Amino acid sequence: MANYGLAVDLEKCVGCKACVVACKAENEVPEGVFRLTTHELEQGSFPDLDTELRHDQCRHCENAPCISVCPTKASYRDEDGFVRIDFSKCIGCKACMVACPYDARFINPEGGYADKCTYCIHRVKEGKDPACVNTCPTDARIFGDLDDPSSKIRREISNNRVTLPQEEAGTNPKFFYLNKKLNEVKA
Amino acid sequence: MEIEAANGLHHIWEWPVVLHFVLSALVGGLIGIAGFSRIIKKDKLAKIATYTAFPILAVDLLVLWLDLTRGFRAFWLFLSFRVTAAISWGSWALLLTGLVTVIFLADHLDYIDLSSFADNFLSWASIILALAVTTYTGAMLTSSMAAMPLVSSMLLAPLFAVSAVAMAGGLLELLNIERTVSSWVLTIASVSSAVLFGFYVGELYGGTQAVQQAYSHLISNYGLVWWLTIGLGFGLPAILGVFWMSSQTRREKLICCVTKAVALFSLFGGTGIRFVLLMAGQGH
Repeated sequence: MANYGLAVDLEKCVGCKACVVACKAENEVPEGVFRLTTHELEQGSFPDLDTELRHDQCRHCENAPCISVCPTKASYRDEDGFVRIDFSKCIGCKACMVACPYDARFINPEGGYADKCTYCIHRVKEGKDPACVNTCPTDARIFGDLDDPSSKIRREISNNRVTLPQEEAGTNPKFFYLNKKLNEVKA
Repeated sequence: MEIEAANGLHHIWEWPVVLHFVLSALVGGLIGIAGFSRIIKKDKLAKIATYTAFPILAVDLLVLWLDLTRGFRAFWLFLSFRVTAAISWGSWALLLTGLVTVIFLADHLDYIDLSSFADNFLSWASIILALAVTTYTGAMLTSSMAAMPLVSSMLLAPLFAVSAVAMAGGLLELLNIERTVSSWVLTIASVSSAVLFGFYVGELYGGTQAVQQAYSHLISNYGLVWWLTIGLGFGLPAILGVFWMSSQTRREKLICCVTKAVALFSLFGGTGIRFVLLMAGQGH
Protein backbone atom coordinates (compact mmCIF):
# COMPACT_ATOMS: atom_id res chain seq x y z
CA MET A 1 0.00 0.00 0.00
CA ALA A 2 1.34 3.36 -1.01
CA ASN A 3 0.75 6.72 0.60
CA TYR A 4 0.34 9.06 -2.34
CA GLY A 5 0.72 12.81 -2.18
CA LEU A 6 1.16 15.78 -4.49
CA ALA A 7 3.46 18.79 -4.29
CA VAL A 8 3.44 21.99 -6.32
CA ASP A 9 6.65 23.97 -6.66
CA LEU A 10 5.38 27.54 -6.81
CA GLU A 11 8.71 28.87 -8.04
CA LYS A 12 8.45 26.67 -11.12
CA CYS A 13 4.73 27.22 -11.75
CA VAL A 14 4.23 29.72 -14.58
CA GLY A 15 0.43 29.78 -14.43
CA CYS A 16 -0.16 28.30 -17.89
CA LYS A 17 -3.16 26.33 -16.57
CA ALA A 18 -2.26 23.28 -18.65
CA CYS A 19 -2.96 21.22 -15.50
CA VAL A 20 -6.51 22.61 -15.34
CA VAL A 21 -7.17 21.76 -18.98
CA ALA A 22 -5.59 18.29 -18.71
CA CYS A 23 -7.70 17.47 -15.64
CA LYS A 24 -10.86 18.62 -17.36
CA ALA A 25 -10.16 16.57 -20.49
CA GLU A 26 -8.89 13.43 -18.74
CA ASN A 27 -11.81 13.20 -16.33
CA GLU A 28 -14.50 14.54 -18.68
CA VAL A 29 -15.53 17.13 -16.11
CA PRO A 30 -18.77 18.84 -17.20
CA GLU A 31 -18.89 22.41 -18.37
CA GLY A 32 -18.93 25.08 -15.68
CA VAL A 33 -17.23 23.10 -12.90
CA PHE A 34 -13.63 22.06 -12.22
CA ARG A 35 -11.81 19.41 -10.21
CA LEU A 36 -8.66 21.50 -10.31
CA THR A 37 -8.24 25.19 -10.82
CA THR A 38 -5.81 27.95 -9.94
CA HIS A 39 -6.10 31.47 -8.65
CA GLU A 40 -3.60 34.24 -8.55
CA LEU A 41 -2.53 35.94 -5.36
CA GLU A 42 -1.34 39.54 -5.63
CA GLN A 43 0.38 41.42 -2.86
CA GLY A 44 1.97 44.82 -2.48
CA SER A 45 1.61 47.87 -4.70
CA PHE A 46 3.52 49.08 -7.73
CA PRO A 47 6.51 48.90 -8.07
CA ASP A 48 6.86 46.40 -5.16
CA LEU A 49 4.28 44.00 -6.48
CA ASP A 50 4.43 40.23 -6.16
CA THR A 51 2.20 37.50 -7.51
CA GLU A 52 1.95 33.79 -6.91
CA LEU A 53 -0.38 31.02 -8.01
CA ARG A 54 -2.50 28.85 -5.74
CA HIS A 55 -3.80 25.47 -6.84
CA ASP A 56 -7.30 24.53 -5.67
CA GLN A 57 -8.16 20.83 -5.62
CA CYS A 58 -8.84 17.98 -3.22
CA ARG A 59 -5.92 17.53 -0.80
CA HIS A 60 -6.78 13.89 0.10
CA CYS A 61 -6.36 14.84 3.75
CA GLU A 62 -5.38 12.26 6.35
CA ASN A 63 -7.93 13.75 8.72
CA ALA A 64 -10.57 14.43 6.07
CA PRO A 65 -13.65 16.21 7.48
CA CYS A 66 -15.61 15.36 4.33
CA ILE A 67 -15.45 11.66 5.27
CA SER A 68 -16.56 12.07 8.87
CA VAL A 69 -19.62 14.21 7.99
CA CYS A 70 -20.88 12.00 5.14
CA PRO A 71 -24.05 10.31 6.43
CA THR A 72 -24.20 7.55 3.80
CA LYS A 73 -20.51 6.58 3.76
CA ALA A 74 -20.34 7.66 0.12
CA SER A 75 -17.10 9.49 0.99
CA TYR A 76 -14.43 7.09 2.12
CA ARG A 77 -10.68 6.45 2.09
CA ASP A 78 -9.35 3.59 0.02
CA GLU A 79 -6.41 1.31 0.79
CA ASP A 80 -3.95 3.69 -0.91
CA GLY A 81 -5.08 6.66 1.15
CA PHE A 82 -7.08 8.34 -1.62
CA VAL A 83 -10.24 10.10 -0.48
CA ARG A 84 -12.90 8.76 -2.82
CA ILE A 85 -16.62 9.08 -3.48
CA ASP A 86 -18.97 6.19 -4.16
CA PHE A 87 -21.29 8.06 -6.53
CA SER A 88 -24.03 5.43 -6.19
CA LYS A 89 -24.33 6.19 -2.45
CA CYS A 90 -24.15 9.98 -2.67
CA ILE A 91 -27.52 11.64 -1.95
CA GLY A 92 -26.32 15.20 -2.63
CA CYS A 93 -26.77 16.58 0.90
CA LYS A 94 -23.66 18.77 0.40
CA ALA A 95 -22.38 18.21 3.96
CA CYS A 96 -18.95 17.26 2.57
CA MET A 97 -18.80 20.49 0.57
CA VAL A 98 -19.55 22.56 3.67
CA ALA A 99 -17.00 20.62 5.75
CA CYS A 100 -14.14 20.94 3.23
CA PRO A 101 -11.96 23.92 4.20
CA TYR A 102 -10.46 23.99 0.68
CA ASP A 103 -13.74 24.30 -1.26
CA ALA A 104 -12.51 21.36 -3.31
CA ARG A 105 -15.85 19.68 -3.90
CA PHE A 106 -18.78 20.58 -6.12
CA ILE A 107 -22.03 19.05 -7.28
CA ASN A 108 -21.60 17.41 -10.66
CA PRO A 109 -24.30 19.08 -12.76
CA GLU A 110 -24.81 15.96 -14.90
CA GLY A 111 -25.07 13.36 -12.13
CA GLY A 112 -26.16 15.44 -9.12
CA TYR A 113 -23.50 13.81 -6.92
CA ALA A 114 -20.57 15.39 -5.07
CA ASP A 115 -17.45 15.35 -7.21
CA LYS A 116 -13.78 16.26 -6.80
CA CYS A 117 -10.19 15.45 -7.79
CA THR A 118 -9.25 11.78 -7.50
CA TYR A 119 -5.51 12.26 -8.15
CA CYS A 120 -6.45 10.43 -11.40
CA ILE A 121 -6.64 7.12 -9.57
CA HIS A 122 -7.41 5.27 -12.82
CA ARG A 123 -4.04 6.40 -14.21
CA VAL A 124 -2.15 5.83 -10.97
CA LYS A 125 -3.39 2.21 -10.87
CA GLU A 126 -1.79 1.76 -14.31
CA GLY A 127 1.52 3.13 -13.02
CA LYS A 128 1.09 6.56 -14.64
CA ASP A 129 1.15 10.01 -13.09
CA PRO A 130 -2.08 12.04 -12.76
CA ALA A 131 -2.94 13.99 -15.93
CA CYS A 132 -2.09 17.37 -14.34
CA VAL A 133 1.38 16.13 -13.37
CA ASN A 134 1.97 14.49 -16.71
CA THR A 135 1.13 17.63 -18.65
CA CYS A 136 2.96 20.25 -16.54
CA PRO A 137 5.61 21.81 -18.84
CA THR A 138 7.87 23.02 -15.99
CA ASP A 139 7.61 19.93 -13.75
CA ALA A 140 6.10 22.12 -11.07
CA ARG A 141 3.67 19.37 -10.05
CA ILE A 142 5.22 16.30 -8.42
CA PHE A 143 3.29 13.16 -7.50
CA GLY A 144 4.44 10.05 -5.70
CA ASP A 145 4.57 7.80 -2.68
CA LEU A 146 5.29 9.83 0.45
CA ASP A 147 6.45 6.69 2.28
CA ASP A 148 9.05 5.77 -0.37
CA PRO A 149 12.40 7.44 0.51
CA SER A 150 13.60 7.15 -3.09
CA SER A 151 10.55 8.85 -4.62
CA LYS A 152 10.92 12.27 -6.27
CA ILE A 153 8.26 13.83 -4.07
CA ARG A 154 10.14 12.78 -0.91
CA ARG A 155 13.38 14.25 -2.27
CA GLU A 156 11.72 17.51 -3.29
CA ILE A 157 9.98 17.82 0.08
CA SER A 158 13.32 17.24 1.85
CA ASN A 159 15.23 19.72 -0.32
CA ASN A 160 12.75 22.61 -0.45
CA ARG A 161 10.78 24.91 1.79
CA VAL A 162 7.45 23.16 2.37
CA THR A 163 4.11 24.68 3.36
CA LEU A 164 0.81 22.95 3.98
CA PRO A 165 -2.22 24.84 2.65
CA GLN A 166 -4.38 26.15 5.51
CA GLU A 167 -2.45 24.18 8.10
CA GLU A 168 -4.62 25.63 10.89
CA ALA A 169 -7.58 23.58 9.64
CA GLY A 170 -5.82 20.52 11.09
CA THR A 171 -6.75 18.18 8.26
CA ASN A 172 -3.21 16.95 7.49
CA PRO A 173 -3.47 17.39 3.71
CA LYS A 174 -1.38 15.21 1.41
CA PHE A 175 -0.76 18.23 -0.78
CA PHE A 176 2.23 20.49 -0.33
CA TYR A 177 3.42 23.83 -1.63
CA LEU A 178 7.14 24.10 -2.25
CA ASN A 179 8.95 27.45 -2.07
CA LYS A 180 5.86 29.50 -1.27
CA LYS A 181 6.60 33.23 -0.87
CA LEU A 182 3.29 34.91 -0.17
CA ASN A 183 0.87 34.29 2.67
CA GLU A 184 -2.86 34.46 2.15
CA VAL A 185 -4.24 37.59 3.76
CA LYS A 186 -7.92 37.36 4.52
CA ALA A 187 -9.99 40.52 4.12
CA MET B 1 -11.72 33.44 -6.02
CA GLU B 2 -11.83 31.71 -9.35
CA ILE B 3 -12.78 28.28 -8.02
CA GLU B 4 -15.59 29.76 -5.94
CA ALA B 5 -17.01 31.51 -8.96
CA ALA B 6 -16.58 28.40 -11.11
CA ASN B 7 -18.09 25.93 -8.70
CA GLY B 8 -20.62 28.34 -7.18
CA LEU B 9 -19.46 27.67 -3.62
CA HIS B 10 -20.21 30.96 -1.87
CA HIS B 11 -23.21 29.46 -0.10
CA ILE B 12 -23.45 25.72 -0.37
CA TRP B 13 -26.43 25.37 1.96
CA GLU B 14 -29.06 27.89 0.91
CA TRP B 15 -32.52 28.91 2.19
CA PRO B 16 -34.05 25.38 2.08
CA VAL B 17 -31.56 24.31 4.76
CA VAL B 18 -32.34 27.44 6.82
CA LEU B 19 -36.02 26.54 6.49
CA HIS B 20 -35.26 22.97 7.55
CA PHE B 21 -33.37 24.24 10.61
CA VAL B 22 -36.36 26.39 11.63
CA LEU B 23 -39.03 23.76 10.91
CA SER B 24 -37.11 20.94 12.60
CA ALA B 25 -36.62 23.18 15.65
CA LEU B 26 -40.39 23.73 15.79
CA VAL B 27 -41.11 20.02 15.31
CA GLY B 28 -38.61 18.99 17.98
CA GLY B 29 -39.88 21.60 20.43
CA LEU B 30 -43.54 20.76 19.77
CA ILE B 31 -43.11 17.00 20.08
CA GLY B 32 -41.08 17.48 23.27
CA ILE B 33 -43.84 19.67 24.72
CA ALA B 34 -46.43 17.12 23.57
CA GLY B 35 -44.59 14.31 25.40
CA PHE B 36 -44.11 16.44 28.51
CA SER B 37 -47.78 17.46 28.48
CA ARG B 38 -48.88 13.81 28.25
CA ILE B 39 -46.75 13.01 31.29
CA ILE B 40 -48.28 15.84 33.36
CA LYS B 41 -51.74 14.99 31.97
CA LYS B 42 -52.35 18.24 30.11
CA ASP B 43 -54.19 16.52 27.28
CA LYS B 44 -55.39 19.63 25.46
CA LEU B 45 -51.89 21.02 25.16
CA ALA B 46 -50.52 17.62 24.09
CA LYS B 47 -53.21 17.37 21.43
CA ILE B 48 -52.61 20.85 19.98
CA ALA B 49 -48.82 20.36 20.05
CA THR B 50 -49.18 17.07 18.16
CA TYR B 51 -51.66 18.50 15.64
CA THR B 52 -49.30 21.43 15.02
CA ALA B 53 -46.16 19.28 14.81
CA PHE B 54 -47.54 16.91 12.16
CA PRO B 55 -48.00 19.32 9.20
CA ILE B 56 -44.79 21.16 10.07
CA LEU B 57 -42.89 17.86 10.05
CA ALA B 58 -44.44 16.92 6.70
CA VAL B 59 -43.38 20.25 5.14
CA ASP B 60 -39.93 19.97 6.77
CA LEU B 61 -39.26 16.52 5.32
CA LEU B 62 -40.47 17.63 1.90
CA VAL B 63 -38.17 20.68 1.93
CA LEU B 64 -35.25 18.56 3.07
CA TRP B 65 -35.89 15.95 0.40
CA LEU B 66 -36.25 18.55 -2.35
CA ASP B 67 -32.91 20.09 -1.34
CA LEU B 68 -31.07 16.82 -1.99
CA THR B 69 -29.64 16.75 -5.48
CA ARG B 70 -30.23 12.97 -5.54
CA GLY B 71 -33.40 12.65 -3.51
CA PHE B 72 -34.30 9.21 -4.86
CA ARG B 73 -31.20 7.79 -3.19
CA ALA B 74 -32.23 9.11 0.24
CA PHE B 75 -32.80 5.50 1.36
CA TRP B 76 -29.01 5.28 1.81
CA LEU B 77 -29.45 7.43 4.91
CA PHE B 78 -31.07 4.42 6.55
CA LEU B 79 -28.86 1.70 5.06
CA SER B 80 -25.52 3.32 6.01
CA PHE B 81 -24.99 4.89 9.38
CA ARG B 82 -21.89 6.93 10.16
CA VAL B 83 -21.48 7.61 13.88
CA THR B 84 -19.52 10.84 13.31
CA ALA B 85 -22.08 12.30 10.89
CA ALA B 86 -24.73 14.49 12.55
CA ILE B 87 -27.00 13.98 9.52
CA SER B 88 -27.04 10.22 10.17
CA TRP B 89 -28.31 10.82 13.72
CA GLY B 90 -30.67 13.55 12.51
CA SER B 91 -32.28 11.45 9.79
CA TRP B 92 -33.02 8.59 12.21
CA ALA B 93 -34.26 11.05 14.84
CA LEU B 94 -36.60 12.67 12.30
CA LEU B 95 -37.86 9.27 11.11
CA LEU B 96 -38.62 8.10 14.66
CA THR B 97 -40.14 11.49 15.54
CA GLY B 98 -42.44 11.10 12.56
CA LEU B 99 -43.43 7.66 13.78
CA VAL B 100 -44.16 8.86 17.34
CA THR B 101 -46.10 11.87 15.98
CA VAL B 102 -48.29 9.59 13.86
CA ILE B 103 -48.94 7.30 16.87
CA PHE B 104 -49.84 10.32 19.07
CA LEU B 105 -52.08 11.62 16.29
CA ALA B 106 -53.82 8.24 15.94
CA ASP B 107 -54.32 8.18 19.71
CA HIS B 108 -55.83 11.68 19.77
CA LEU B 109 -58.12 10.79 16.86
CA ASP B 110 -59.16 7.58 18.68
CA TYR B 111 -57.90 5.24 15.96
CA ILE B 112 -55.82 3.43 18.58
CA ASP B 113 -55.95 3.14 22.34
CA LEU B 114 -52.51 3.29 23.94
CA SER B 115 -51.95 1.31 27.13
CA SER B 116 -50.60 3.38 30.02
CA PHE B 117 -47.20 1.67 29.65
CA ALA B 118 -47.04 2.48 25.92
CA ASP B 119 -48.24 6.01 26.55
CA ASN B 120 -45.59 6.57 29.22
CA PHE B 121 -42.85 4.98 27.10
CA LEU B 122 -43.70 7.02 24.01
CA SER B 123 -44.01 10.24 26.00
CA TRP B 124 -40.50 9.85 27.40
CA ALA B 125 -39.23 8.67 24.00
CA SER B 126 -40.67 11.81 22.40
CA ILE B 127 -38.72 14.01 24.85
CA ILE B 128 -35.47 12.17 24.00
CA LEU B 129 -36.24 12.40 20.28
CA ALA B 130 -37.02 16.10 20.67
CA LEU B 131 -33.59 16.53 22.20
CA ALA B 132 -32.00 14.71 19.25
CA VAL B 133 -33.95 16.63 16.59
CA THR B 134 -33.29 20.03 18.14
CA THR B 135 -29.58 19.47 18.83
CA TYR B 136 -28.56 17.72 15.63
CA THR B 137 -28.69 20.84 13.47
CA GLY B 138 -26.29 22.58 15.86
CA ALA B 139 -24.04 19.51 15.91
CA MET B 140 -24.20 19.43 12.09
CA LEU B 141 -22.76 22.93 11.94
CA THR B 142 -20.20 22.31 14.68
CA SER B 143 -18.89 19.18 12.93
CA SER B 144 -17.93 21.40 9.98
CA MET B 145 -15.79 23.56 12.26
CA ALA B 146 -12.62 23.52 10.16
CA ALA B 147 -14.50 25.19 7.34
CA MET B 148 -16.88 27.23 9.53
CA PRO B 149 -15.05 28.59 12.61
CA LEU B 150 -18.04 30.79 13.47
CA VAL B 151 -19.99 27.72 14.57
CA SER B 152 -17.14 25.81 16.19
CA SER B 153 -18.64 26.11 19.68
CA MET B 154 -20.00 23.13 21.59
CA LEU B 155 -22.59 25.55 23.02
CA LEU B 156 -24.37 25.67 19.68
CA ALA B 157 -26.23 22.34 20.05
CA PRO B 158 -27.69 23.14 23.52
CA LEU B 159 -28.45 26.71 22.38
CA PHE B 160 -30.38 25.37 19.39
CA ALA B 161 -32.24 22.92 21.66
CA VAL B 162 -33.34 25.55 24.20
CA SER B 163 -34.25 28.08 21.54
CA ALA B 164 -36.28 25.37 19.75
CA VAL B 165 -38.36 24.88 22.91
CA ALA B 166 -38.83 28.68 23.12
CA MET B 167 -39.93 28.74 19.46
CA ALA B 168 -42.38 25.87 19.92
CA GLY B 169 -43.72 27.42 23.14
CA GLY B 170 -44.07 30.71 21.28
CA LEU B 171 -46.04 29.11 18.48
CA LEU B 172 -48.38 27.40 20.94
CA GLU B 173 -48.80 30.68 22.83
CA LEU B 174 -49.75 32.45 19.61
CA LEU B 175 -52.27 29.68 18.94
CA ASN B 176 -53.77 30.75 22.30
CA ILE B 177 -54.19 27.49 24.16
CA GLU B 178 -53.89 26.54 27.84
CA ARG B 179 -51.83 29.55 28.83
CA THR B 180 -50.63 28.29 32.23
CA VAL B 181 -48.35 25.63 30.78
CA SER B 182 -47.37 26.98 27.37
CA SER B 183 -46.53 30.46 28.66
CA TRP B 184 -44.36 29.05 31.45
CA VAL B 185 -42.54 26.76 29.02
CA LEU B 186 -42.10 29.70 26.66
CA THR B 187 -40.87 32.07 29.35
CA ILE B 188 -38.39 29.69 30.98
CA ALA B 189 -37.04 28.62 27.57
CA SER B 190 -36.71 32.24 26.41
CA VAL B 191 -34.75 33.26 29.50
CA SER B 192 -32.55 30.13 29.27
CA SER B 193 -31.86 30.62 25.57
CA ALA B 194 -30.91 34.28 26.18
CA VAL B 195 -28.44 33.19 28.88
CA LEU B 196 -26.94 30.50 26.60
CA PHE B 197 -26.84 32.93 23.69
CA GLY B 198 -24.91 35.36 25.90
CA PHE B 199 -22.32 32.67 26.61
CA TYR B 200 -22.12 31.89 22.90
CA VAL B 201 -21.54 35.52 21.93
CA GLY B 202 -18.88 35.67 24.65
CA GLU B 203 -17.10 32.75 22.97
CA LEU B 204 -17.12 34.60 19.65
CA TYR B 205 -15.35 37.57 21.23
CA GLY B 206 -12.78 35.40 23.02
CA GLY B 207 -12.25 32.76 20.32
CA THR B 208 -9.30 31.94 18.11
CA GLN B 209 -8.12 34.24 15.34
CA ALA B 210 -10.15 32.22 12.81
CA VAL B 211 -13.32 32.63 14.93
CA GLN B 212 -12.71 36.36 15.33
CA GLN B 213 -12.18 36.75 11.56
CA ALA B 214 -15.42 34.89 10.91
CA TYR B 215 -17.21 37.03 13.49
CA SER B 216 -16.00 40.25 11.87
CA HIS B 217 -17.30 38.90 8.55
CA LEU B 218 -20.67 38.25 10.20
CA ILE B 219 -20.81 41.79 11.60
CA SER B 220 -19.87 43.37 8.30
CA ASN B 221 -22.24 41.38 6.10
CA TYR B 222 -25.11 40.33 8.36
CA GLY B 223 -24.76 43.04 11.03
CA LEU B 224 -28.34 44.27 10.96
CA VAL B 225 -29.93 40.80 11.21
CA TRP B 226 -27.39 39.80 13.87
CA TRP B 227 -28.04 42.80 16.14
CA LEU B 228 -31.80 42.50 15.64
CA THR B 229 -31.52 38.81 16.57
CA ILE B 230 -29.57 39.67 19.71
CA GLY B 231 -31.81 42.57 20.73
CA LEU B 232 -35.30 41.55 19.69
CA GLY B 233 -34.89 37.78 19.45
CA PHE B 234 -33.04 37.05 22.68
CA GLY B 235 -32.65 40.18 24.83
CA LEU B 236 -36.22 41.46 24.78
CA PRO B 237 -37.95 38.08 25.38
CA ALA B 238 -35.63 37.46 28.34
CA ILE B 239 -36.36 40.89 29.88
CA LEU B 240 -40.12 40.51 29.31
CA GLY B 241 -39.96 36.93 30.60
CA VAL B 242 -38.29 37.97 33.84
CA PHE B 243 -40.81 40.81 34.15
CA TRP B 244 -43.71 38.37 33.68
CA MET B 245 -42.32 35.80 36.13
CA SER B 246 -41.66 38.36 38.85
CA SER B 247 -44.84 40.33 38.30
CA GLN B 248 -47.68 40.07 40.80
CA THR B 249 -50.14 41.67 38.44
CA ARG B 250 -53.52 40.10 37.87
CA ARG B 251 -54.29 42.23 34.85
CA GLU B 252 -55.07 39.54 32.35
CA LYS B 253 -54.75 41.84 29.34
CA LEU B 254 -51.23 42.93 30.29
CA ILE B 255 -50.10 39.34 30.92
CA CYS B 256 -51.57 38.33 27.58
CA CYS B 257 -49.75 41.14 25.73
CA VAL B 258 -46.42 40.36 27.38
CA THR B 259 -46.58 36.61 26.64
CA LYS B 260 -47.66 37.25 23.06
CA ALA B 261 -44.70 39.61 22.61
CA VAL B 262 -42.31 37.05 24.13
CA ALA B 263 -43.78 34.42 21.81
CA LEU B 264 -43.33 36.51 18.70
CA PHE B 265 -39.82 37.65 19.54
CA SER B 266 -38.72 34.13 20.49
CA LEU B 267 -39.84 32.85 17.09
CA PHE B 268 -37.94 35.70 15.47
CA GLY B 269 -34.81 35.03 17.55
CA GLY B 270 -34.80 31.29 16.83
CA THR B 271 -35.22 31.91 13.11
CA GLY B 272 -32.67 34.75 13.07
CA ILE B 273 -29.87 32.85 14.77
CA ARG B 274 -30.29 29.84 12.49
CA PHE B 275 -30.34 32.02 9.39
CA VAL B 276 -27.40 34.19 10.28
CA LEU B 277 -25.10 31.43 11.58
CA LEU B 278 -25.77 29.17 8.60
CA MET B 279 -25.35 31.87 5.98
CA ALA B 280 -22.51 33.85 7.57
CA GLY B 281 -20.76 30.66 8.70
CA GLN B 282 -20.30 29.54 5.10
CA GLY B 283 -19.55 32.93 3.64
CA HIS B 284 -16.08 33.79 4.92
